[in-house]
Amino acid sequence: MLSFNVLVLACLCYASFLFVVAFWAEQRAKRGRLGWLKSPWIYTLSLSIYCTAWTFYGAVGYAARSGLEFATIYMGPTMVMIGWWWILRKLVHIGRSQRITSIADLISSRYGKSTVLGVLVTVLAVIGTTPYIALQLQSVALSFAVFSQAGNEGVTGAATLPDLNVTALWVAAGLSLFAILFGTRNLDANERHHGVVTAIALEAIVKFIGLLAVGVFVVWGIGGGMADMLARIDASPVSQVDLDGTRFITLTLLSGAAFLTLPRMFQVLVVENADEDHLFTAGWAFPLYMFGMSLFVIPIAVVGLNVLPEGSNPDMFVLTLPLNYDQHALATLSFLGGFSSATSMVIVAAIALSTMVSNHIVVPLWLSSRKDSATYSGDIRAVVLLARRVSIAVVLALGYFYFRLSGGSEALAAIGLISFTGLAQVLPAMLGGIFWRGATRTGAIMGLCLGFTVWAYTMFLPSFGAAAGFSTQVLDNGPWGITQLRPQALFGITGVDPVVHAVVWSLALNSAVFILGSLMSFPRPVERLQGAQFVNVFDHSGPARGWSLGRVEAEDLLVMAQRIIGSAEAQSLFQNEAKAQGKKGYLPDPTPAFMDGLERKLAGSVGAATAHAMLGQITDGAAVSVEDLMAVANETAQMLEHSNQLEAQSNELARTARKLREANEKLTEISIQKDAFLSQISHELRTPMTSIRAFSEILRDAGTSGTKLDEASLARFSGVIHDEAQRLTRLLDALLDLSVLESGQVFLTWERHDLHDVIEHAIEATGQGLDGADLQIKRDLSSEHIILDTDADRLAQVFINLISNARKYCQAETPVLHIKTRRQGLNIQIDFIDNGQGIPEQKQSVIFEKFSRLGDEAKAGGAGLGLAICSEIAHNLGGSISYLPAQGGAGFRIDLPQTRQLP
Amino acid sequence: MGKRVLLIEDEPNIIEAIRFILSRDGWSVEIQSDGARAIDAVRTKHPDIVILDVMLPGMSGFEILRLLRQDPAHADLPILMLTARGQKKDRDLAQSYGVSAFMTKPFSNADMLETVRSLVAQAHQTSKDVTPDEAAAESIENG
Amino acid sequence: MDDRRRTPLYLARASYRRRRLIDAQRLLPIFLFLLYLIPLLWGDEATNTPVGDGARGYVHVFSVWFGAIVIAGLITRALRREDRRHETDQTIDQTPAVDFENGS
Repeated sequence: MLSFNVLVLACLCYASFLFVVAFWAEQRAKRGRLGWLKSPWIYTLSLSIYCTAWTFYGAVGYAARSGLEFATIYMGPTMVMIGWWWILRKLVHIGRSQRITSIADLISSRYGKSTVLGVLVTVLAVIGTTPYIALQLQSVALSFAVFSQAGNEGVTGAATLPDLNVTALWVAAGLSLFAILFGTRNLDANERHHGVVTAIALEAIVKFIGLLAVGVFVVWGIGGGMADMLARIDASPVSQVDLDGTRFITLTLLSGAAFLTLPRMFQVLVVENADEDHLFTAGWAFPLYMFGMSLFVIPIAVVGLNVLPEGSNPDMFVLTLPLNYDQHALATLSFLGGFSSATSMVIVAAIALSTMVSNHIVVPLWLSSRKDSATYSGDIRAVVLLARRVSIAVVLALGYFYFRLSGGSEALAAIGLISFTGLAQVLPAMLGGIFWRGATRTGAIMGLCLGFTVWAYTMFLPSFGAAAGFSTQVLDNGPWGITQLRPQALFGITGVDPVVHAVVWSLALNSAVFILGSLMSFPRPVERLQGAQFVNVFDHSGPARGWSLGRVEAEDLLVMAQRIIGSAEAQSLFQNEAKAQGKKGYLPDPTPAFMDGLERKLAGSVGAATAHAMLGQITDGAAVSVEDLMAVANETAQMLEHSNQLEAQSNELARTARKLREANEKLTEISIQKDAFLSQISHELRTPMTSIRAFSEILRDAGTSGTKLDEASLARFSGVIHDEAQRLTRLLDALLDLSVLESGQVFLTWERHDLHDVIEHAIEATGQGLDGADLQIKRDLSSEHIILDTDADRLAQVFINLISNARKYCQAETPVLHIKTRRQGLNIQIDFIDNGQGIPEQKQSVIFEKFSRLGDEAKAGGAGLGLAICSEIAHNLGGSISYLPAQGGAGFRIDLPQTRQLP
Repeated sequence: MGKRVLLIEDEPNIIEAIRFILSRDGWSVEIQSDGARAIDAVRTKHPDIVILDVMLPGMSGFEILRLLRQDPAHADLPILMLTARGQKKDRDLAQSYGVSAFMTKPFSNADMLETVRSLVAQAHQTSKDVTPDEAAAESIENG
Repeated sequence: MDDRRRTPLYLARASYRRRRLIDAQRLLPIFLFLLYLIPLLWGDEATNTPVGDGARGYVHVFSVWFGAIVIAGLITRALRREDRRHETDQTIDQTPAVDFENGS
């Protein structure tokens, strides 16, 4: 006998195995060695979350009650997959080019990055999915119960029967842990959740084998093969059920629609898709999977009804049949299959919903609550990730409470169809959005609202019965006795199956209002741009632009981008763009094309509407106007006339022009500086000499004329002469050092050093411990231990200079200097970032020139050669030093090769 | 003699040297190190001569010179300019703004003393007796 | 969208074949749907058998289903082969398009 504890143990082992697999896949993905993990087969298997516990357990129950009708739920998706995956292909293509994060994001983005639509779809998805999650929890809990009943029959009776509620609670907690661990690793929609996808692909295999094994056992183990089975079917009450034609057709179409609009399906179909070509394989392989899952459903139902005692729950035949024949291994396999079906659905649904909730509800609220600051303080990534994690927990908690409230009632059995119908309301706006440019936001909002209302009134709320005020009295006579408004017979249409009634009314009214609203309203410019991009997604070689050149500071953009996608990635994005534009450093020109690319990159993390709103705040609302739209139209027309080559040439020209302009600016700057150099050097030399001469004359006069100087003055004056002479020497040394470095004649002692020691030495030399009084230095000691080939004294000289600069110039109340080191490929990056005012943009390009000091130099004491020397040293060591803008203070980055690069 | 010098300079060692040289000769020396407050100092202290450095924090010596000369009350005030850069175009610029004398650092103490004495003597010969009260009234109007 | 405006009148033989394959693929679900509905015509009160006709309906639906999957697989294979053979053929999706509404 299988004890309940053994079952729990098996379950835990299986769950830990899934954790291990997910973790392993994440690690492989991290190392870039995905291999077969990104094959079309994994993609196909991941689609199997369509088959939930409702399939695994429920399909048999469904067949036992309504015969062949259960097949409609799988026939709809089959039709979509085998013939109409061009709809999917378009969705996937749009999803990738627009970096769509969820179905709510798709709708919101298509209709002008509308926040309202994002919220609407999100709410609809949460309401529609929660009961479905409850259904999964219930089926897992029930399957546990089945086992423990079987296990306890002969032993102690009900004493050790597990509490269903407790089981469901543990399952919900475990699932949210999994979803949080593997579903919220990264933010970007284009970075896929390899761990989750691999785990659900594995679960897909387990449930497929589980159901197939039970089927084979039923047909060839209990029955006498296929022919015998057909005879049994004919004799069974299962085949005596009349098929209802309208229901049959409606359900087929409904399931096809739901396949496209269910949030979890959108997640695996579009968001997690790595390659459009995978659809080729999935196009026939996934229908085959569903075929396999359905093949033995009727035989199991027939045999179950035949063999098992009257009143057995047909929803549990998949478990009770093997148990009845003491096939415990088979029953355990089947149990794990059911467990897999439920868990994979819940995990993906929770991830999909949490993305929507955080991107369309939490983040917009959070942003509007701090609208006053245009440059966002705080790390937005942390907020979004936290929002997602909390949302996952909340979604699962909602599912659990729904399960508790509905108390495992019969109503749950109908939940699948109710959920399908609710989410299918997104279909008109979705298909209209990708195939019809005339579809507008107004139409979509009206259609969705009406469809949602009708669905809630005719299907969702009545499922709660009297609890929601839908007593039999209301159902029979309509609210307040208005018979025209009877929830299941709207406008006097009676005698129709309630499901068909609700589906037809809600979708028909939804579509009608959507089309009418679209025809009668006029879209805003952003909407028209987005519409054109979505509908003609295959035609546009480059995306149309959404931004006109406003007064945008590249530095502000970088600050924001860093907070959403992380500093390393944002910096490399900006650096690459600057390089493509032919500029140096980290700040590209904020061209419309760049702005558009940036927005899309951000949209991949926080959704289109939010990304658009955030950029809009920085650009002062310089989004598209009608004029821009016309300009884009003209531009597109011109592109037709020009060949690609011409375009490339003009790009090249623009790049060269930009380079020339920058070079010219720099030359002018340098020639002014050269001029200034002479007078600077003169000033620097003459100032100490003035004091020396004046005081030495005083001393000389005192000696010759006999006018006496007191001892104190004598000591003071000769002290001044001495100090100023030393100052002169220091200046000359620095100049000499610089000229040696510049000529490349410097002698370097290359040795292997631990970077940590060099930094340590530099900090000691500047008289600063870790808890220095005036300047606080924060370091990450563990990351500093990098061995590199370098000249330690020279490198320390650079560090000393940067530290003492921070000490001199950092104006913050409590000055803090962060020293961060990291490995970047074969290079090492060392960042020195203080919390002062930073360096104004126009000065950033000249600070490494000789004698360039900021503002009033006198009190700084140096001659303005420090950074010039640093730059030369870095250069001599085979690396570079650059100013790192947008760090909330002055930031310097030193790039060094880890091993010596021989010239 | 009791004549007053206003020294506008920010290098502490040079201040000390000039102060020593001039006070030994009987001048009373007042100091202003901040360029931005130099003009106020001239207005309130009514010096007989101003020694003005070019490189100053807050406001450059040239700018101070220009502003002082715009004010009729200081049109004839002797101003000796000191610079460590000694380029011709600096000298020309100072002259165009109406400097009284221009010296390049490093200077000899004797030259410095001589120049200051002669500038003040000259100013006395040509001065149209402007009373301090009138000068103050005018400067308020202009301010 | 106005198809005439952007595609040439005569297509190369290869892309012609490709287009017909796509046609077949788009029509496949419709045929599948019609065939799969046939059991609804079988049996009613008059013939004393239930609508759907028991085991016969079961066998029919699953045969049609499986057949459609096989055909879909074959079409996909043929399409991929065409695609691979004419990777450089760019008659269909690559033509740039101007489709801006005239701001009416």
